[in-house]
Amino acid sequence: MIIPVIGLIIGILLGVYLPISIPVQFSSYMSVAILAALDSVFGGIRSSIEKTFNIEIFISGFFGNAILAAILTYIGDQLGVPIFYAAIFAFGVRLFQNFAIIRRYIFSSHKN
Amino acid sequence: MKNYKFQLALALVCIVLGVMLSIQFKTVKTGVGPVSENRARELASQLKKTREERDNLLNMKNDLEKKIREYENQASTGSVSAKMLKEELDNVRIIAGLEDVEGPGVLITLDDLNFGESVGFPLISHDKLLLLVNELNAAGAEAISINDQRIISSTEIRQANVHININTVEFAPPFIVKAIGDPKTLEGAIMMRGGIIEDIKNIEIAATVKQEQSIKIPRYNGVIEKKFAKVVKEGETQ
Amino acid sequence: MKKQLTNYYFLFIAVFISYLLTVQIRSNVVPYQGIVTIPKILEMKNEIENITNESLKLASSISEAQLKLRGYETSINTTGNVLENMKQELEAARSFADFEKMEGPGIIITMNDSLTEISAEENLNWYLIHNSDILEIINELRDAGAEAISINGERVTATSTIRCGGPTINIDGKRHAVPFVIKAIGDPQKLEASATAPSGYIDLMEYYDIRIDVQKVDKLIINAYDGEYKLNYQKKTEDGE
Repeated sequence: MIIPVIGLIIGILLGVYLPISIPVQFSSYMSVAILAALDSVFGGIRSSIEKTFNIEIFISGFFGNAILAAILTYIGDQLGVPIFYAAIFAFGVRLFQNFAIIRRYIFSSHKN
Repeated sequence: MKNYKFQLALALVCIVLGVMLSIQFKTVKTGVGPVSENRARELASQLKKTREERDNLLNMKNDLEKKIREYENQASTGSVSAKMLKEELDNVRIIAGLEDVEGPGVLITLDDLNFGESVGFPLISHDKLLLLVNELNAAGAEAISINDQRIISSTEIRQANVHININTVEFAPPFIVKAIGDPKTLEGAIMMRGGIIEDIKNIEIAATVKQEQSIKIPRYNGVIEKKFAKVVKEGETQ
Repeated sequence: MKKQLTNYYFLFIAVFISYLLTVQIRSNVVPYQGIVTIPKILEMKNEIENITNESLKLASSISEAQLKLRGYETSINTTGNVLENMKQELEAARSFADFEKMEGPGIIITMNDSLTEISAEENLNWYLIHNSDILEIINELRDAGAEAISINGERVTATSTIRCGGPTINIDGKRHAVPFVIKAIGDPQKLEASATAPSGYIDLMEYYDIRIDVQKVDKLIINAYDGEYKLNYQKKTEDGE
């Protein structure tokens, strides 16, 4: 499990030291995209534990969800419908569910 | 083997996630500060306090000016020359923008409907407002305000990122421009074919122009500074 | 026996929860803000800054008004009338309304059309001075704190117009041709810095070889506005409305 953690650290360092910044107006799209990405990561861990992991689905889900979430938020802003909240709710609920399932697997494997 | 592949995929994804996280963190930290319920409450109460403070100051200022006007009114009842002095003072103050004024004129509303999402640049830029004020003046406007900021001799209309500063106060759309003068002439001048309003509508800004029988324009509420410019006296004695 | 213990347990929890509730309700002076989003926070921050700015301006105008009022009061006590103060007020108001000739340090900007030979694809308009160029420069000077401005001797007021008139430019209805001489009284350093700022408007015009010269001057004189009072439509709003 060490390689993904190293990846995360590399990514954070890249983000901190590269002179990339996004305009403040776009930061709410970014926050939804991050939530979607986090959701994919937990979903990936869960599927790997359940041995149903599929790399295509994982990668496409990661980028697809993040982009879709950002686009939906943008469209919502245009229409005056806060789709933003729906995305937070959907991803948030899934995130906790996945985390709960991962926890169960970890504890049950310890007992065995 | 499968697990190895999974770890690599996860690592790749984590790199992207890490970049996103840290960029977002940087943006929020430098541009916004914490985004939390607590912060929102704090800001809301701060906003309320600053508003109250401003209103208090405004009242104080009005009281003081009222007292000054009372002294002047008393003095003007004394003699004919004093009365004329008071009248002249009132007139010049009106022209300098130091009095609330009212009269017939036009009310112009400019709204950038997509402002919130506009991609980094605002549709209504300061040069459109400069031209509009210029055209209104050409049509004989006597007093103009934009979002209740009276346009006086030293008023700047400056672009500051997506906002526009007028009298050093920052504004976002909609812009409400009021002008006192002959309503028909004012409307005609800005609504003519190829005129400023057509020009503005061409860049997809919602613009409405309405003639009004009575428009109120507030006075300039700052201090006009003349630190460097001194009045030349000799001209008067010649 | 065990049932009673559970009851005590529930009692304890009930007391604890109601205590938390009352504390929370009593401490909430500020109403619930809804779901907190980044744009919302930004908007509030902006508004606070704006109002604070406004308050600062108000505060300085209050101290000015206090000073004035004190002057009026001492006049009443010593001479019995405030006519002298009113005359001073009149002079100040006249200078604010640009009816006074002013002198002071500042800058002089001289502009002339470009002499560059231009090719067929290029637009001649880019190489000429337009009314909008002058509007922009005046605006930048105002932003840099110019206290009096004139163009070719015409005093620029709040209601001045600068329009295109074919080969000339009309300033308040009077025709003027190149070269244009803009005079501004104010802090010479500040005015010059804003006029010559990179990516400022003058910088942009110099790109098209429009001949511009900016000069700091220790003392310059700017004529008074000699037009009529524009009081045909506007009138003072009476108090008590």
